[in-house]
Amino acid sequence: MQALERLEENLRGRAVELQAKKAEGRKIVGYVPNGYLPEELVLACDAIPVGLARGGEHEAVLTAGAYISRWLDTWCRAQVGYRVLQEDPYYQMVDVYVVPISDNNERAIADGWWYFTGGDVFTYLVPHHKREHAYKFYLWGINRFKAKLESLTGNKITDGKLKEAITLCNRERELLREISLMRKGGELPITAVDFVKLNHASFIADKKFMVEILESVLAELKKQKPAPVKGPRILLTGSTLAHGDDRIMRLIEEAGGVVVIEQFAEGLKEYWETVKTDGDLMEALAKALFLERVPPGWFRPGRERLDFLVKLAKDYKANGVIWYQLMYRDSYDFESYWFLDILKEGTGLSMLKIESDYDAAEAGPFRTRVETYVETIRR
Amino acid sequence: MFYSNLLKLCGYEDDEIEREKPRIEKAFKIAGISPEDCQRAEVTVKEDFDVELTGVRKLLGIWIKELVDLVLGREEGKPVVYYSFPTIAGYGLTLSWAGGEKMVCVAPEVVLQFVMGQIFHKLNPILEAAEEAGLPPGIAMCSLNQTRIGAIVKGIIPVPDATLSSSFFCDEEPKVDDYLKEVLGLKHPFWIDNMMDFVGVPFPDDAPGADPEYQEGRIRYLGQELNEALAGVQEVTGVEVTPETFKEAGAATGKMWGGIFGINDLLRSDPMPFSQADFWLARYLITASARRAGTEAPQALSLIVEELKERVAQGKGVVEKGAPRAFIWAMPIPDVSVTKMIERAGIACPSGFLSWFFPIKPFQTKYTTIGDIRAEFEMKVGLYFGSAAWIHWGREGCKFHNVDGFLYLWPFSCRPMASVAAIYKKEIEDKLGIPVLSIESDWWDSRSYTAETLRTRIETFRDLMKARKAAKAR
Repeated sequence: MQALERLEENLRGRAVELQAKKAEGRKIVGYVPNGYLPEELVLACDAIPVGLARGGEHEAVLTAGAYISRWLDTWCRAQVGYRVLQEDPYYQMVDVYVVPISDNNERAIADGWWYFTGGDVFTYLVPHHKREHAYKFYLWGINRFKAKLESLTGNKITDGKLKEAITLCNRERELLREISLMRKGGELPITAVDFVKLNHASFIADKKFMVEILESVLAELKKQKPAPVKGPRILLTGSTLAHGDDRIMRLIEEAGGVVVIEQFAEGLKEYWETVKTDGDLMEALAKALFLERVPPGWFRPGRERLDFLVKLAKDYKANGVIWYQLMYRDSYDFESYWFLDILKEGTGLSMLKIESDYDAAEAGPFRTRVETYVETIRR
Repeated sequence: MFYSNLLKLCGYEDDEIEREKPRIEKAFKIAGISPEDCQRAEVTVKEDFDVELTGVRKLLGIWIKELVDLVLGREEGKPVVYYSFPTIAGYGLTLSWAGGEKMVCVAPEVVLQFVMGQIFHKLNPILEAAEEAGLPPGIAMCSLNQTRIGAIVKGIIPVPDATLSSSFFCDEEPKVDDYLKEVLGLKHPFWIDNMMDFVGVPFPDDAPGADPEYQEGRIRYLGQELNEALAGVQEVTGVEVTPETFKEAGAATGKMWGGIFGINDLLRSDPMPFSQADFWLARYLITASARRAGTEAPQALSLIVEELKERVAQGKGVVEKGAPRAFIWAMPIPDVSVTKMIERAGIACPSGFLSWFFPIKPFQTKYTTIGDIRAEFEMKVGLYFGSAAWIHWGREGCKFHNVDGFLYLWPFSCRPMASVAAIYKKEIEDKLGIPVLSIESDWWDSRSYTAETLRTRIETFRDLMKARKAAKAR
């Protein structure tokens, strides 16, 4: 796909481009991509949001071992590892690292990053349910974040600038949604690997450029004759699908399965919501990102997400579910136990649960299990 | 009766045993406590606990009584509310107080850890039951949560009418109640939500006046959560909690705290006169939100304080005089052999997290609801504030007790505790210049982290502290 090639080429030079912008005085705002950070606020003060979503490599996890206990989520440990390794320019160039803390594992990232590597870390706290005062608490948190950005950049976030940023981000979400929805039918216009590539790119690429790319991708997809879906249709879900952690998707494809939809709490850009641009814009952001968004597995109760997964499975005509989570993400461990029954009751489908610690030694056993599962549901 | 000797050893009076006989037998049957278990416990209780002290025997008995109440609660037609640890203890105690004997309100997993674990050494089957019921080994599931689920699955304790759990300290504990709801039919889970912040947000005691608006926002949120949870439980159980009840419960458990602080003071004596294994019998009654923390326990503690004063006067101790002293984070509960091993190795642990609180400056609250008042207090105490508060706690504890080292025995499956392990060690070593032994352990499961696996490191740490102490003295 030409648009994808353009995107890849752009991303090859993105780090250098950002360094140049930083040298000009623009601020780089890195963040944990758990869906709770409004990029709109960053754009509205002329800073550059960079979702730090890298994962999939055991070296980063091992490196983090000197700084953070191994009994925490793999991806979260890896974030401290990448920062310590100093090899990834994105992890080094941020002027502030923002962690909307929604569970203890994310708090551990903030702890390790700040304490052992220095740098400015800003947090706000994300409640675990959606009652009115929780929404207000989240709104208060993003208002504090807004103040932090204004102080960092020296730029006021006006309603006008914020509305412009919301419109741009809405367009990005809308395009991702439209592309994703194309996979509902019997044909597969875009593979999961490529869709996730686009999604991950949206954390790093310039926002206007990204929207342009998505528009081109959509146009190309509409023109081409999509391939029919030949293998069993899979809903892939779990805790984190990091940039660089495409092993599970490749294994599924190689086994003849077809991932038609993904749902993850971290590592993938949320695209189901649209932020309203009439009325109070901060409230609109909070409503979309907190109230309307399907919460992660560490919300309590966690039923909303599980019901959403059943809906996705039905909407995307899945033949099976693969639950791919990372080690020690305890909330997901719990939910995987009773989700089986909810899934069976709602759809009759079965589920394969896989846990990863980003260890290369997992490849063989994972392949066997995925192949067996795909074969089972193919029949 | 097969349990008489054991119960007398655990502070029961003869008439109590006679009066409670039907309940004891029924509860023991449900819990699977056999005559052989009681015989064995008679031996191990004498080995593990300081049964010379009448107060310790009374505390053991209190735990057994809490188990009997817990196991029989549903059968006896009482509303059953499970509080949890580490939810805000005072709140649970208030509910227990308000409900009195007409309600069961306790942290069941803590009761089970002490009775089925420490006294009867029968906790493992409960943990194994939980492992077969969705909380498998190998993925760092907190065994306190396994205890709750395993005991329900085994039919030892009932599915409660309501639960109150902290949705702010860890992510696993609230998921247990989600499990109870989805899998076992719990109708009324109440989660007291909040969030803890990272180490970069300074604890107010360390940075007075820093960001008061932020503190207030957090207090208001937690306060509202507490108010709503309390209202919910009152509606479910019909038990009313008023500001007056709150004060009464506070006063009752205040007496227990008085006893704990009294023991804390005596533990600073050299030689240390009391084992942490016995001390935790008292301290965890509050943590378990046990009703008897406000009724029978204060008397037991008063007895202990008097008995310890005598020991101090006689120069008697459980560790030799001059032993190096270490502030300890906490000790494993279901098996006191780790605690005993540390003390037999010659380390005196006069105090630790949960058994000592840094002094809070007197303050005038501007809040008026029970929830807000409690939230403000808890944020000042620090357990629910965030990483910076625990480090502050440990640092102040080491300074206050003028210890030779810090034994940071942290539970591997507790994400909040695990996340700061490396930071804690560095902070204490750098800021206080005392050695820190950071040991991964398990506070709630003795299968993997036993006294023998830890002994070498503990003994080496003892030698290190001794050498430094001697060098200092020169």
